[in-house]
Amino acid sequence: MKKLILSMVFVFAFVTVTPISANSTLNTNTAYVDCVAAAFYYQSYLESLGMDPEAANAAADFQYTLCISNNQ
Amino acid sequence: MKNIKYFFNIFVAILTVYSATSQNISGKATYKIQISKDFTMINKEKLKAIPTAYVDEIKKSMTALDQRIKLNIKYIENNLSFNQKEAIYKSISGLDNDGYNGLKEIMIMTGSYGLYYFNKNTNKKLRQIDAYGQLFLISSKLNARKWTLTQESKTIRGYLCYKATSTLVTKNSVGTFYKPVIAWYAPKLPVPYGPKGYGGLPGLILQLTEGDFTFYVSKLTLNPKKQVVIKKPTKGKKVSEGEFLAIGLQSTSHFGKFNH
Repeated sequence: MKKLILSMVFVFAFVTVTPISANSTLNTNTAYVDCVAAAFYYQSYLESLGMDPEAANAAADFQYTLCISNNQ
Repeated sequence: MKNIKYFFNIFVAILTVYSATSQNISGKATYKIQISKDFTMINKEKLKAIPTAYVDEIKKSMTALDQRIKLNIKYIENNLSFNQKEAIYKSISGLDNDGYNGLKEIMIMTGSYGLYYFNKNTNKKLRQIDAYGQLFLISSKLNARKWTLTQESKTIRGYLCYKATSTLVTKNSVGTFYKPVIAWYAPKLPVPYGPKGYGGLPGLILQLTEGDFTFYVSKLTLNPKKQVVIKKPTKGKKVSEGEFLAIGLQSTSHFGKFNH
């Protein structure tokens, strides 16, 4: 599950800095994209508080799971 | 002042050697965690770095995280089993299977997920943890941490404890962060172990504060009739602390730099 989320976050981060069309690489479901983006900012915010990458990643993973389940 | 410090250090060293040679200590210490009264994950300054469209979402999430931490922290218990040669520190809290109440998340945040193994004879510390989708076995030196020993003392569970201070350095994709660490160790319990992988002091750590979290001994059993058996962890990808950090940084390096 973590690997899957991590890879999705990578893809999200990648498309934000490259001209690749999101439509061609990502699920365009708004809730899905929002959950990935929220998890990304969530992890970055936790790291800005000084949390170690592993704990911040696990917390973002949990947040992503919550977000997806709330949007289903 | 320097002389007092010198004699104090000599005193602690003698006490440690005396205790170590006069006792063959083993036992179990259960640690619980207390959170500081003014603890919150909401930091207005840090929130300024979040894109406006996500600020409310992050605020909402952090309020929920605050609640999950305050709710779950009281259920987390970690056990340190030790003898003269080695020790193992791991959680005895029951993990929720679905993970939705957030116990696992809080355990990870408080270093209560996975386990720590110490070996005094080889001066080795191992941390076994499931992270980034795989199991790791992270090795380091037991006495790697630099402590400043002080003469300040207090009694915990009937043991005279001395205060030692250190700094936790955390590196992540945003930068390097420093957190004060305060440990209270008991020279009369001459084993260099403690909670959350902390150790290397001339006595068992009975209380340790790292940032907002305080680990304290809620139960202590010494020299039980049943021998304390410690099993060294062997499973997991073997990495150093530096290699594990590099894996963590790699996981966020693409997206963690927005608020530099």
